[in-house]
Amino acid sequence: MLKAILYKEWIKLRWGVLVIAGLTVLSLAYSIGMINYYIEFQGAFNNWMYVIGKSLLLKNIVFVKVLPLITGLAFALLQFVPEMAGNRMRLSYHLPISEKKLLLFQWE
Amino acid sequence: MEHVIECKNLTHYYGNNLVLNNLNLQVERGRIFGILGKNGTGKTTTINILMGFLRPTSGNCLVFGEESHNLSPQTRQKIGLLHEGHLAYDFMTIKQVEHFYSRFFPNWKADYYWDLIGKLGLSDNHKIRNMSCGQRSQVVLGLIFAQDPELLILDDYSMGLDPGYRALFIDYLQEYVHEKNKTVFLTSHIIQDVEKVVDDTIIMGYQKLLLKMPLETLKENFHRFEFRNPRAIGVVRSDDDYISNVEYVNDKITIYSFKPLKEVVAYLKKQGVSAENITEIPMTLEEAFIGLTGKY
Repeated sequence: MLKAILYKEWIKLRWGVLVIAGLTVLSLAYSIGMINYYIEFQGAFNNWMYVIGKSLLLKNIVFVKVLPLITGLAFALLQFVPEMAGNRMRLSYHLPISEKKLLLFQWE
Repeated sequence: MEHVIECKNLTHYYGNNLVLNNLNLQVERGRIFGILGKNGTGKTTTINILMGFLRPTSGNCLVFGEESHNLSPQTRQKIGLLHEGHLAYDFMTIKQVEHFYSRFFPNWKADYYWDLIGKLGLSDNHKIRNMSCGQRSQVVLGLIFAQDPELLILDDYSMGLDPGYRALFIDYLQEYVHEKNKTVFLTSHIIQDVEKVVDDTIIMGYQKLLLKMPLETLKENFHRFEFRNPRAIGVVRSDDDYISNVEYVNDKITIYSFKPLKEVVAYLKKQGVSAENITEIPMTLEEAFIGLTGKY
């Protein structure tokens, strides 16, 4: 039954997972490229001092900081909206499974 | 006789608005019950309580001996629910939804599902969200049949269905429940369809149960009489014992009663009303429903 619940979640989330994973890979590649660029022109030590010593992230890769938040919100919406829209939560409530298992709070 | 559903003194308020007032009803195993009533009489509230989505203000409702708002997973396994509007996981395809539900029911009968789906002529990868209401109703019905439940609760199954899909739904339901001796509790606004399938009728009025009896008993014992007498307009009034309802159209008087013709005529005579040309007019269930509940 838990496999079935995970199967439903996967159907809801799979396109979101692919898109978000793609965006994450692209943004990380961009970040690595930017860091290499700064190291090449300003030196690794100066960049290290700038990021750590002044407690600042590089201006051009600040989105790395908000990416987990955006990803989390996107997953929450993708999971929540199809489940709740049009009273569909009633379908889940009637499944012959305990509420704890339904919400994946219990695995056995 | 064993009761699959048993509601005792069911009372429910929405704020200060009383919807159900001490409703008592029992549903026996193997019977098909149709619950009828005008809008606002508490049909949906009763169904929501039975489905466990609403806790009554007072009284209780037992389904297979358990409180309906606290059913165990084992009991939920025995109940097939058809939600109003043929609710389904519409982000799934025909194949995915069957795969998903089959994991929850040990007696899963996939053949029932695929037999109904085969009639639609759609690909297995067709998404439910892209189906018409009629096609979705077949998917939902197929899932309920495949679940092989002991009790089917069908909330307004005819909603949004054209006559063809309604007939298809009724045909399959009739065949399934009679072959398998299932218990069914259903509501619908299309009374002529209900008449084809139910064994027992429950008719709800505002804050009270008007009647609960086998359909055949209702048909045999509930009568409609018509006569013309201009002097009787406004004189004949309904009461609980002899006259359930009275309608006037010009000088035509229509009386609905559980008493036979002779007794009604004698009662009218006692009231000083002459009904010499009185005749009984046969009724459909829909006409009997309107006769009992009134047109307004």
